[in-house]
Amino acid sequence: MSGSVAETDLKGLARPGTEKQSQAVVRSPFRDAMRRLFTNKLAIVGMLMIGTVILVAFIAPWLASQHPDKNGVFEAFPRNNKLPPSIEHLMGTDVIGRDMASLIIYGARISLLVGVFAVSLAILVGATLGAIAGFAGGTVDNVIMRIMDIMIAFPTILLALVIVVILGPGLFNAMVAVGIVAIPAFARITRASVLGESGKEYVMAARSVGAGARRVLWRHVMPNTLSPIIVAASLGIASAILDAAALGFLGLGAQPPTPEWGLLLSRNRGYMFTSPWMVFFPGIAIMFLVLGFNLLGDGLRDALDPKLD
Amino acid sequence: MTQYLIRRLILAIPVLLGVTFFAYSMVLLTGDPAYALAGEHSTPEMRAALREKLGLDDPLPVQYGRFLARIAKGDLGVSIISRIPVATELRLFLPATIELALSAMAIAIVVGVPLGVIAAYRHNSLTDLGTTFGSLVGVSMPIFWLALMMLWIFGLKLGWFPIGGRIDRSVDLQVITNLYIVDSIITLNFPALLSTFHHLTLPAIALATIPTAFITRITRSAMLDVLGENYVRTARAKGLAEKSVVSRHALKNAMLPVITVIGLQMGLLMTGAILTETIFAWPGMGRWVVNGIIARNFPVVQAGVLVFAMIFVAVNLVVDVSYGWFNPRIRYN
Repeated sequence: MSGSVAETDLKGLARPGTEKQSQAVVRSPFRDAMRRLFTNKLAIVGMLMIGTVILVAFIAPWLASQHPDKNGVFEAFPRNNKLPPSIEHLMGTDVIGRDMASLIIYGARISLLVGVFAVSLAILVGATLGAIAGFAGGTVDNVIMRIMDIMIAFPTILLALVIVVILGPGLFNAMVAVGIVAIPAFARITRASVLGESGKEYVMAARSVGAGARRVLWRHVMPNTLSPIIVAASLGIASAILDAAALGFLGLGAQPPTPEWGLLLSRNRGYMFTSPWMVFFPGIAIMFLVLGFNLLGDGLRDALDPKLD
Repeated sequence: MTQYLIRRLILAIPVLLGVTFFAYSMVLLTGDPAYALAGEHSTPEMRAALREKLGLDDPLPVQYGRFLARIAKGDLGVSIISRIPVATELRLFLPATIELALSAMAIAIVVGVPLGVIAAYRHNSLTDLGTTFGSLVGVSMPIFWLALMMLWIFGLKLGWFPIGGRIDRSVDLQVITNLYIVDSIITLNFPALLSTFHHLTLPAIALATIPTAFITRITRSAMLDVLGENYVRTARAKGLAEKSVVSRHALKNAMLPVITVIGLQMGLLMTGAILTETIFAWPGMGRWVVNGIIARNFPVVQAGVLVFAMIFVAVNLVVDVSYGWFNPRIRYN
């Protein structure tokens, strides 16, 4: 430790000026934000939680004691049904004797997929619409944002439910529905920051050297609107996972035999009073992953823009 | 002020029109309503006759216009399942949801605001960290899971609370407004009031979790901003009691963002109600609409979507208007 300090000192002495320059490069806003993020204890906890779930999802075949067949079906062992948690079955077994822990381990893949897919869809559509609305202004802005207002006027679960009814129940349609529901939030956030950036000098400079509207928007304005979108993405993944689980719970999301956490919870609900572990563990799994993304989102918000609400 | 109110009401019209249009076209998107009405075993001729009768073969704008005229008169159609006018069912279920949502919001405010103030006042203390973390756990919990766990622990294991419904069957209550708290107070029926609260406790607490967490968080951050202001230092410098500084000087000015969140959460409570009501067998709008969706009972779904959206728009309007009361610096022009 002391050796390296001496070394930098020597370098600094040998070539005055270079030290200062390299410091300026190191302290980019991005590095600054990362430094703030990695000193935030709660954010680190969040990242560890998400990391754990990602790891579990990847090594599921080695971690789980029971595995799905080619069609994704977990074999039922009716004789082992409703076993309480034990060394053999850490989270007990469900009504048809499947190992709860294995189901939940494989379910991690689904929840991660749902969160990432839904938010990607929402960003793709929402951020594009918001950027166009903010940049074009006038009638275009009005039309886009009024449509967003209408979408926001529906409770999210209700809107997702209606979309699922239109598209039909199923995991993919539930992911699409949850993604569509999140579009207005991203549109609003992107529009607000595009509006904020558009008036700045660098945009005027880009325009004055003859850059076209499209180039100005995508190459100059958009990169500067990323921070709020990143924050919203992390928090958005959290609520997408919750919403998809709620759809699964209501029987309109993932369908059996998919080991989706919300669905597992709902299928075992009738036996809750006698075998509560069947409901307890899927809920804990959902909360663990959602909390991870919420903690990370919070940390990102503090790190990227302390002024953001 | 009046001018502003009128302008806001006019601005809400296109949104409400959009909502009604969505509610109408939604039915057509989910399949042939004649099929839903006539049932699976209907013949094509029966369905054609029904389409003719309902005017489903007319151009969409004509149908939509007719729909608007109908709901403007308060006619929301007839439930396909129960054959009861939807408006009648609505009068039955809406008060139950309102009672549940308002109780939940009352809990959320009473718990959330003080927690947020304390967390901000003891910034960076263990209390602060605990509150911040706790409120994040609150927003991360699947509400249906929490509701089930509460039901299991407090309803079944401890037996402290009933596991469903709004009131004991053995209690007589003369229903006037269908808000049981109000009804039992105006008829001075204390056993009914007690039973209502008894039934309301678990669902209201479950539903209050998320708004409590949000209100705590926003109160904390708003208080943190305000406590650093010069006028707070001035208030302290002139020797005011700390209690008065916090509650009269700081909190009142920190309320603006809190009000916004309360308004937003009021709308979101309706979302939560859909899940909470399903679990606690609460005879409200949420359960009614979910059952409607599952049974493709489209007049019910339409009415539910419309009412939920209108409540949301109305709440937002009230929030915007209440800004002026909390912050006289805001001018409505």
